[in-house]
Amino acid sequence: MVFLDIAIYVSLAFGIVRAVRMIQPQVRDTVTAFGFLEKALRKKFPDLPAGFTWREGVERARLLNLKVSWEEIQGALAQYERFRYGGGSKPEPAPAEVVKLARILSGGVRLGN
Amino acid sequence: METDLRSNVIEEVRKVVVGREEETGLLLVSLLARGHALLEGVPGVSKTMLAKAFSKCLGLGFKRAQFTPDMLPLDIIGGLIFNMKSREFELRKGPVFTNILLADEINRAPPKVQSALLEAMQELQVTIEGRSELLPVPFMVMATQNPLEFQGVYPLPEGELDRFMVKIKLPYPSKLVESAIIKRNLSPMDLDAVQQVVSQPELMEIFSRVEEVKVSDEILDYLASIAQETRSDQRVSLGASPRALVHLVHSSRANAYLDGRSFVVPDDVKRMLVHVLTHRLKLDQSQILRGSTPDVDVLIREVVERVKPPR
Repeated sequence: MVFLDIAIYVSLAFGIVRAVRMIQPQVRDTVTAFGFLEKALRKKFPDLPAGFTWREGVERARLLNLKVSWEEIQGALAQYERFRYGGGSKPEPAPAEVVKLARILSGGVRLGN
Repeated sequence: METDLRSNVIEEVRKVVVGREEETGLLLVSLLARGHALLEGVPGVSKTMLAKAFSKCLGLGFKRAQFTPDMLPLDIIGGLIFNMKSREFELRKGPVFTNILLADEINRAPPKVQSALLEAMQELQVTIEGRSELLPVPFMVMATQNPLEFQGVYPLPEGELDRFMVKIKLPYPSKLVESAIIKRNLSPMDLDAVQQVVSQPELMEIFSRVEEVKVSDEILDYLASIAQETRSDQRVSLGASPRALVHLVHSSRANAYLDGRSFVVPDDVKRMLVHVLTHRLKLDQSQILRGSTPDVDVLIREVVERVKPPR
């Protein structure tokens, strides 16, 4: 009986820890979303040089054949570039596909790490 | 319109020159950025035909000057000739009075002739007997250069090299392309097949649009960081000059325009960097003798990968 209790509590604790690790905060801001993507790209491709550009990073991720809409990601990237380098207004809300890609690449890494 | 221009020019040039799409695109960037291009390659890799076809499809005036060891500056810029009939000196304009001047085998001419081009390239004017003559707009020097290992060539001085916005290397074509070239040459080469893709007023409008392409302060900082990095690299004895950066920013603008953007992104800079810096960086001789320095293009790529672009 004691052993059964221990087994139940241990698996419960393990499940809670796993669930906490899987919880991702909501990304509402575009700059945060792309910051998240940068971190995820660095984690997934440790050999990426310091001088990589968004396009190079996204192109590298594209080779992985992940289930994301590359069209939407390209569109979001173009809008972000316009904001970042062209003085355009900040695109809102945060692009969902970029966040999705970052989450897939990071494999559970949380924001702020 | 912008991306069409690049593809249209490439398409037209391809009618007479096979396998030089990349080089054609770079020439277009250089022209729109109001720069000059140095073409380097062994004889027989279509340098002259490329220049002719490029000028034709843009509807620009074209002249060719074959540089030789016995050439004089007069042969390039022109001079005052005495007219026996009118008993007056008349200005006879040299081949430099055109839109695109192909300075063929520029490094076969002695330095004083090479220097005669400097004023034209920088000031867009020439001085003949104390009289300044403006050159047509646009004006672009497309100089071909034989590799220095060839006999009878004078190396171009650094000051002149720095005035070329880009250096475009024309390597031997691949086997597949070479077969296509031979096939194309079975029938006579017809430059008339090349159609003009843009009118003169349209081209002038494009020049002003390129000048409107935005370059953010962060991109400018990025350029400066790259220049610093080239100067601090132990393997480099002469890094990127401020003029190199000016050329880099202008060519990045033209590239952005041709990609259909009204602003420069770090990828534009990276795309143009090797072509803008390759002829400007001087490698440290002692490092070369030790065999520890890679090819200059490889070194430039290594340097830029160490500099974080604005993200």
